[in-house]
Amino acid sequence: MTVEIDRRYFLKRSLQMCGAVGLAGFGGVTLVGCGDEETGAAQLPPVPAGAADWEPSVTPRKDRQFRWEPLAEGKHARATGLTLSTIGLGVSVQDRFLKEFERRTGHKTTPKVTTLTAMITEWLSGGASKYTTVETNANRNSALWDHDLLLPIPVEQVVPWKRYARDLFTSKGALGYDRHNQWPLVQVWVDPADQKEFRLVPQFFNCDSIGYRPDLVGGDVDSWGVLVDPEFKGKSAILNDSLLTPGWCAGYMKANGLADIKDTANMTHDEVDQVIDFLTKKKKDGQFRVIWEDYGQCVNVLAAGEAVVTDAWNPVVEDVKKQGVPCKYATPKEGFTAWFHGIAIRKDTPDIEAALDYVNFCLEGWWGAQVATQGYYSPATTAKTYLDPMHRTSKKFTDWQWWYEGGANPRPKQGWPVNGRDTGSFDTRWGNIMHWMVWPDDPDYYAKRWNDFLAA
Amino acid sequence: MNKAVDLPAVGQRAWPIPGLQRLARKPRVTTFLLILPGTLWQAVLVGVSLVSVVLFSFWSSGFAGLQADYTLDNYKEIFTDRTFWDTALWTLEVVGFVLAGVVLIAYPAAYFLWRVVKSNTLKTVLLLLTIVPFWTSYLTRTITWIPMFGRNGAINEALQGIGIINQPLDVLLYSSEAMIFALWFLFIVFMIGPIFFSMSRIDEDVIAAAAVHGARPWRTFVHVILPLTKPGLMAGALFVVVLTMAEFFTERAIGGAQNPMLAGFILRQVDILNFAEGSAISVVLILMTLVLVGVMMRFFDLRKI
Repeated sequence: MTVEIDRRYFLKRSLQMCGAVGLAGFGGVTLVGCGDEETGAAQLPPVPAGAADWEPSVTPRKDRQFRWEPLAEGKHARATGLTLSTIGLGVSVQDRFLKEFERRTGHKTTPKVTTLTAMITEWLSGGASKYTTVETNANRNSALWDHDLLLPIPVEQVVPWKRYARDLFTSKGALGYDRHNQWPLVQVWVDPADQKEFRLVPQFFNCDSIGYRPDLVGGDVDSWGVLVDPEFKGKSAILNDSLLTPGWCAGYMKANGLADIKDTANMTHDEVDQVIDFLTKKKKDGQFRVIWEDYGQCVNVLAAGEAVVTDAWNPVVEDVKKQGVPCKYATPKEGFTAWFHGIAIRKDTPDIEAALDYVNFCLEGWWGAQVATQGYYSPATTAKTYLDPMHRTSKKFTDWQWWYEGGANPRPKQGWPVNGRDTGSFDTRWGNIMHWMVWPDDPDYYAKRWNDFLAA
Repeated sequence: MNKAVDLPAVGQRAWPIPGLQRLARKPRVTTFLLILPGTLWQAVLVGVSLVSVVLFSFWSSGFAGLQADYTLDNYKEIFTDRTFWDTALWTLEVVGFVLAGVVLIAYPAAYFLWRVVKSNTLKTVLLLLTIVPFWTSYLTRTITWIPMFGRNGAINEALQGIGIINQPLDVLLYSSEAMIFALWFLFIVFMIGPIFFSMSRIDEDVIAAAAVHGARPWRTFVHVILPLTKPGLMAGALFVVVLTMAEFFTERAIGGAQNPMLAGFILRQVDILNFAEGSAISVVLILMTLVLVGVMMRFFDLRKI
């Protein structure tokens, strides 16, 4: 006897089996996942001897004190058998950085580049065990910290920190410190009062503003209001982010008396409503040419002149300039929006030494010098050691003078071209902060109202 | 005692694996074993994912992750949200516009290939040309529109050069019209092939018989050709409907994110780690898609394709 397997029989039976196995599989995964796993914290190595006296050096030392220190050209450290598996954004997880790390330390690396949301999602859904470190934005780090996935890192283990950390990450009196939200200290330290252990070791940081085409705008921009100015109707672009975009708009509205907002970084429902209603009206009036989603799109939009003003990340403006297109980064009178990225170590990683070596490598100076030309700052002043002799950006000014001191213009200069950093020196920028990009108390409400704005 | 041996029948080869012939006499076991690999694959990649999404939609979530507290709050939230309904309606409108446009472009093109182009080689080449763009990634095909249709893109430059327009047409990029236009051309490959292949199966004698019985060309088309190409139309429509319902990238890259559809809604919930509400919207989107497919099956039994 033979059974005819027609399509109907096949579909019916396989769907039944599929559903049954799916349910069983999910049940199994849930049971396994609910197991009471005992995971111990990784065993920290002893504090390195000589750490207190360490100084950065561009020239490789004959007898290196630490694995992550510079190594003579052409040499490669002996393999250690340890692997650094790290996940982060494309700006920090780059092959050229990791190859240098491998060369100096002898550790292997396994990188993964992804978006902020994807990396946090992966860690929260059980994927953390694949990684040694995560390189994340500080406002997302609490999600991992609250899930007890991260290791507190004793400050002594981060050798460059003691003598070379910027006061922005150690002092409440620093330029850019937010007294209201206690940023960034509250995100850096387990206890900001004693500063003995890191929650998140700062890796690089910056503050954002507006990218614009001075040739098409016909001058310089000095306010976030340009993005909602009817003069640029149909030529303005804004970021598709339910938290960041309402943030700068709130800062603009508050500074110009258009709304009564207490904390522009963490708004109440009423305050969010005021901002969204304002943006919705502008959208309906045809203010925005595009609501951009990713880095490449922002570069294309500005370079092609589809929009002449947009909220942008600093490297976007630098990339547009590299295409030979006039493009500047504005110094808004309402202030910049600040953020920092850091490295966190997985709690029970077996490769703790590789992880600590990576943290130290990123703050040793070389790494900070590499990201400087993207417009990013290093939280350790060790980068100066490398940037002082470099002239990658200008023949006249060293890279340190250009990227940290503003080049010819510690204060923002009008006109084009600018012989230095568009927005001036480090102190000029960090003395003009609107707010830090914190995770608000009710992001769901932000998202709900942002959907209303997009659908309007 | 010797075991009985399965000897092959005269003229047939012995089964390579002992006992396999005995197994082949148990049809239910054979059926099970044959469908097991594919079913396991589907179960892992599709079944577990689907069941997970449905379960998560009844959980709650926030910054601290998902909590299995079984609640209807996510569904209450979305069903009482006016923006959700507006977006759902807009998504259905886009499906309608895209399907209509794709059919209107693909059907005549397929007909031309079938009836007008006589050479089989040329038919193959032209059909291949409609498929070749599909060999590049979806993202690449979408992004290449930007330098073509932007304010300073090739099309606007050409139109201004000819003197048809004085100012660049903004509607060609970052608008809902541009998004729908892009979706027509992204999805046309799914329609033109099935329609052409169903046309190719039409017996020429059937068309000749219609003519012999006095049917004019238009009547032959409406009463003979069109019904016989229904399988191809429906197969293509199935692809277009399902893909458009899940569309989020073109909406952002070409549509400028100013007219979002439901899939974009889901992404924005995931962005703020609200997986539970994102799952609830996903469940609703899946159900809407199944309803649409169900409606299509009222016109044609898709199981007959």
